[in-house]
Amino acid sequence: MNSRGASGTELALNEAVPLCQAWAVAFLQGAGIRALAIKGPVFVLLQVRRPRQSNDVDVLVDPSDFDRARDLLFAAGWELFIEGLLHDVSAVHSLTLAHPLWACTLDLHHHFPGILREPQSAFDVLWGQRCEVTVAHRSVTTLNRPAAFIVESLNSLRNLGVGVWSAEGARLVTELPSPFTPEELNSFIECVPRLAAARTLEPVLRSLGVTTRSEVPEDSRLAVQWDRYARFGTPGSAWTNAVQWRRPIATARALIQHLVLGEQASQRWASAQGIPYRGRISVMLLRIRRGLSALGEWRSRGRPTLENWWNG
Amino acid sequence: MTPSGDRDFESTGDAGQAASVTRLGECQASVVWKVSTNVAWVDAEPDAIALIDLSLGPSARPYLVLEPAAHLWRIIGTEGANAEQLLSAADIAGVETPERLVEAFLEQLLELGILTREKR
Repeated sequence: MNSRGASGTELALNEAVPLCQAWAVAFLQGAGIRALAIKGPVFVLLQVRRPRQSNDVDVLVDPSDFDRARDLLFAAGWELFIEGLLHDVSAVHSLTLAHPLWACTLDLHHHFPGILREPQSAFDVLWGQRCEVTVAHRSVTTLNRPAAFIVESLNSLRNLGVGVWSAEGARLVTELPSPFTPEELNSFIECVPRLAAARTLEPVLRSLGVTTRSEVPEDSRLAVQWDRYARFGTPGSAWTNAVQWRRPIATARALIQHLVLGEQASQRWASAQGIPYRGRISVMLLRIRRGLSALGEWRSRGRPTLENWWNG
Repeated sequence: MTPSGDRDFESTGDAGQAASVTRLGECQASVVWKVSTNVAWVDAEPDAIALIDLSLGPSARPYLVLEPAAHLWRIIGTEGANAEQLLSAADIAGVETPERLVEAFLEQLLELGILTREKR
């Protein structure tokens, strides 16, 4: 197999992600759906994230059009990355979709974890903070820098345990690739309480020397979800906990389902990891090996995370 | 041009017109080929240009323009290029029959609506 896969025509991840992000936003907006590219290449371009290769594309859509957006993507050949229990539980804030022609997956969000305002109102606030950036030589709608930094910060915090949130808040501020202008900082400070994110972004606000309180009530369901992240360390651990509580008997089966991927999912995983595909067994063994490494890390540093387990 | 995943690609152009406009001998220096505003493209790997026609909506498919045609694409880039520039680039790249490569490249991509033809 060459670098372009068996057919010699496969896109590399650094080609697929920007192309797919440009296509997905244009496609959904073309259908009259308000859609925002988040994370990935657009956040690198906005300089709220340090350059790194994304494995997937994230699109946040108007919650009232979420089902229509999902159905349009299904009609365009996208399908659930993993079906069944894993999908049921992980679809709390987004759906992960895959397409045979794309090396990357597509995360379709109806809200973003840590934004605790009721999703429709929160989206309306974010839509008011949109801007355009050029991705793959085409204009793509995303968030402006202050709002993008909110999403980027929440994304970083939820991937870590509460014990290191304070340090992560400081890191996010000090390592912001391009420091905020006074206007951007004001916009950030104004936007946080409107999204009911003052509590979840407290480590970042503290690093900025800012005190603020949310102007709107927190959505209790979203607050519980975030508190689960805080309690269990990561989305992966929180997810495991959620599964255990909701359907304990199926937990082991679900873990095996995630570990023993099908042929296509195995190929996608290998592609997303940037490694040559040598078959399902090889992928499974690699995932087990990484899981054991995560366990070793747990013994020395803290909790194991499913995210570490799957992605190393 | 190679469709990623070997899928069919729906033509959006007029093949007859495309063939006629790509006879390089008939082209004036003022005729410039540009990438269509509907096309998103990435030049991230040395062996190809990756692109997708956004105007095709649900049936849009990612494509690869492989070398040596990718070299011609890079000449067109964001500014556009005329026949002389493309022939010169193909010649420098050591292609045996630069005219045939450039004509085939332009014809196929015009037919697909990936490139447009403008008078400067």
